[in-house]
Amino acid sequence: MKNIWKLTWFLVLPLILVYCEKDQDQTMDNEEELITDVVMTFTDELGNIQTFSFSDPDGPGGNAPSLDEITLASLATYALSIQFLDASDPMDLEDITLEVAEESAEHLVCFDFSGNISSITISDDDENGLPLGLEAVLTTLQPGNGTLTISLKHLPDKDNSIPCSTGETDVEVTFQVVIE
Amino acid sequence: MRKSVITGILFWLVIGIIQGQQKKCDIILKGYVLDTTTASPLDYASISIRGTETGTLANEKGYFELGKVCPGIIELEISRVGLLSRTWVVDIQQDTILFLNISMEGLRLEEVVIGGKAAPIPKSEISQLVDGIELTTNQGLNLATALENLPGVSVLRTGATIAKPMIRGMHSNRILLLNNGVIQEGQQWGLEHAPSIDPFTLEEITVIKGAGTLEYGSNALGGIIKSNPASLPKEKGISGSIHLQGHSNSRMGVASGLLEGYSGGWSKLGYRIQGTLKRGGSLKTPDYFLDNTGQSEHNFSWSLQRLFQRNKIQFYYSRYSSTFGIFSGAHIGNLTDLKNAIERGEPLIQPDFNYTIDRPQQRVVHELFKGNYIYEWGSSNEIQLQVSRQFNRREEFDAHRPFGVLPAEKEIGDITFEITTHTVDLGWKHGNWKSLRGKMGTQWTRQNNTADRGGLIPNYTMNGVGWYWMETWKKFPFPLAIEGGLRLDYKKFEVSTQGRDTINVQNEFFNLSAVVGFIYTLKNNWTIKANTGWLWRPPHVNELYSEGVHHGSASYEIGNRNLFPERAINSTASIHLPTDSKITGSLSLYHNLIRDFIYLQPTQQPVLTIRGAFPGFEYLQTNAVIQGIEWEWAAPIGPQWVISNKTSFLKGENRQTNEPLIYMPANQTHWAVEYRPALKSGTLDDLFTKLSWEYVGSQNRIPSDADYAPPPPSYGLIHWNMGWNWNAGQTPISITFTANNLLNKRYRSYLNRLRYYSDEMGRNLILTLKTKF
Repeated sequence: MKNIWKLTWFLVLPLILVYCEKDQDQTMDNEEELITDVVMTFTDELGNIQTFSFSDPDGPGGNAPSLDEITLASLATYALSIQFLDASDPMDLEDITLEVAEESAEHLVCFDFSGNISSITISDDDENGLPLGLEAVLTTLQPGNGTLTISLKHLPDKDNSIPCSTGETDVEVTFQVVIE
Repeated sequence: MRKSVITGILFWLVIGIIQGQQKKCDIILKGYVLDTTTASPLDYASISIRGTETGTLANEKGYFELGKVCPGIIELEISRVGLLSRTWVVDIQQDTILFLNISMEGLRLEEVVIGGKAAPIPKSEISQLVDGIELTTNQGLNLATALENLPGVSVLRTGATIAKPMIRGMHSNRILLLNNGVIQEGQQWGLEHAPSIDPFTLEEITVIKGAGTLEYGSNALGGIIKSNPASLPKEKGISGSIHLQGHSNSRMGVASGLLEGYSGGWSKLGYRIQGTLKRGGSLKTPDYFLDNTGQSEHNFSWSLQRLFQRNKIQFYYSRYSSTFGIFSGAHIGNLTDLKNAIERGEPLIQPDFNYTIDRPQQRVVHELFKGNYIYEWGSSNEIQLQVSRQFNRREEFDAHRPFGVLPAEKEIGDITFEITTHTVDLGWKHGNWKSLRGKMGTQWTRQNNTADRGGLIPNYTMNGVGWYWMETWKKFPFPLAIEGGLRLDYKKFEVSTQGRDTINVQNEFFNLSAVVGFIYTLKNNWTIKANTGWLWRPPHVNELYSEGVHHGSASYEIGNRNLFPERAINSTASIHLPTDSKITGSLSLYHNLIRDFIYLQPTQQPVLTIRGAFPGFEYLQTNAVIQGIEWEWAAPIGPQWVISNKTSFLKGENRQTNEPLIYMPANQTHWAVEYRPALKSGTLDDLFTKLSWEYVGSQNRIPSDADYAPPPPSYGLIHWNMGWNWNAGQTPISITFTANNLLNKRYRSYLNRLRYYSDEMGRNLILTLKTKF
């Protein structure tokens, strides 16, 4: 009888010593936000507004993203503003631009262009007075075609000679441009 | 492998000729001492009966004779140079012939050893052991690195800290990793998912290459890695050890300690408690520090064992918990970033040394709890029941904090995988019956995997049942042993959701595997071994359902729900010199044909995402062949010097496209010269110094269009090792000093996934102190 008690503590002790981790299945499963849409708003000198967007609401894979063709007037100057959105939940559109602006020193929007675009100049600053890129000024050349690539860099080295070759790319979208 | 590596000693016994009943002390005990692995005789072992004056020495053929033995239960003690002495309790009633089979190659890894009573059968598998000094010096690094020196074993790395073992070109789900008798179940499908085992819990690690045993599963197309802790003490008292290690590169400190004992008396409890702490900072290549490459680890384990007359109950618990910084220069968002990084040639951010572990990082927790019951009777008959639970949580943090979450949730991984596995194993082992010895058993596994905040792989539940039966025929002194085994497996995946999608699909797999092998001992005690296994591996969920950008590798992986199981015919032949001869060594050849080999094939069209276009890779099947040759040998030059070499050649081919397979290890060779001066005892006991040269060729056999940069050139590294034992008063301290990459050479390894971004680690000086009390 005595031995049974002795055996019992031997069998129970291991159970006391085990601190078992459990699967903490979070209810917010797979609710991570991502950037699904890039919206570019062009405002010409007369105050006319045009928007073009890249949209992939189901995220990478699945349905192919939709991509607008940008149509601009020749020899014109546009104020350009960029917005990043999470449109994965149509009932709850999130504006990620606000977070980018909040952590402005950690972000940089880069522009790469070819064809009949003359120049793009970043017109806003981050908290350290360095370029941010959510606002820019774009000028066009003669009628023709071109491409415009917008990328959002995280933790770029803004002091680098080519800041856009640094950092991790969160967004990289290439639009076809028609200058009329 | 040195002779001091000889560790295990086990034997089984066969009662031979029986002559009438005797009652006086005139029984004659005769017998042979044999090496289990090679089944060849072992010379000059000493055999004695405990508590008596009776004893003798076996002759050069391993034969011994003991006269005037009294009937009853006697305790037979066997010892031999280089072996630990062991005792064996045997009931003697008449003249008896004993065959004492002693393991020279750590066959203690038959984890079910009671007083040396388990039945190691000569095996046709090629197994290699790492323990002693070789394990000690690498314990502070990781499990895979400890195995790297074995021919045929390579390491697949992500940076310098995350390392996965690879056997003959196979890794992840194609090899089995056993931790203390339990199959390690984590997220092993990922190339950057290293095994979560604390090497300090282990006393020895054995690698079985090719098809050997079907006991643990059929999917070990490449081989099996068994890692085992030391057995618990059986002599009364408390003892312990402390192990300290310092690394110059990464300025890493490791401390590990254990306390163990045996209570004796009525409780007969053996126990051990063990813990490890590890902290390292930025790694350094010869030229620069790598940003965010710190690591920290804290591990803990205990075990408890109660011995009874015929049975044994054992509990084991271990908890591994680590945080690894991922080299920030390798964290890329898209293909443009990757191209920029390759063009730069060296990382953009080259900070000073620090211990900070920032984003991106990985945090892994792995828990194992197992209970084990063994009952044994007669001559090596045994039943074993083992129940285990494992839990693995893997959190991956991107460089970028997630958008749109509350500050409180920012410490939650961007992806969290949680996997819980329960297993029940029941096995029966039988002793000699008409020269047959064998084992059969069944295993049941249930696994539940959830992926939170990320849809790279789906949530699933897996149920598996396996049944195996293996027999070996060996009749002494006939030089041939034959073995064969069968295994049936059933596996079912119930896949529920993936990311935001509901899948609700079941995948079922059912198959048969088989192994045959033989061991033949030549007149000169050389041994020839050969085996062939028909193995299969069902596709894993990542191969079936993967969908998404694989971070760091800038590729979009696409699963394929129509994959079949892989089927392999894995053949190995080898020749081994006797373990007790002057020159030791072995040579093996292998050929592994895998039908429906699952691999990633680049897709025609890149996948367009908001992060840019990614090259797509789709899981497809082909027929593949991996073949190679490996050898190792060690030869004394004079009494104090030993020269050794380990070499492996490997070739992997996709038979349908006639192209080489990706990520195959390059041919390599390791040379070492070791010097052990004969010094007066009490000064620098067991002093040794070893200089080695590791040469790894350039892998120029690669598939076209599947890589971003050409494979790095070949490299040769010099390593240096020395150690001795020092008695500080009553306390023995073992000191080891290691210099890895002594010449601080700049190089990159093809099997490192971060080779696009930075060089490998530079010189690392490691000082290890180990003391026992």
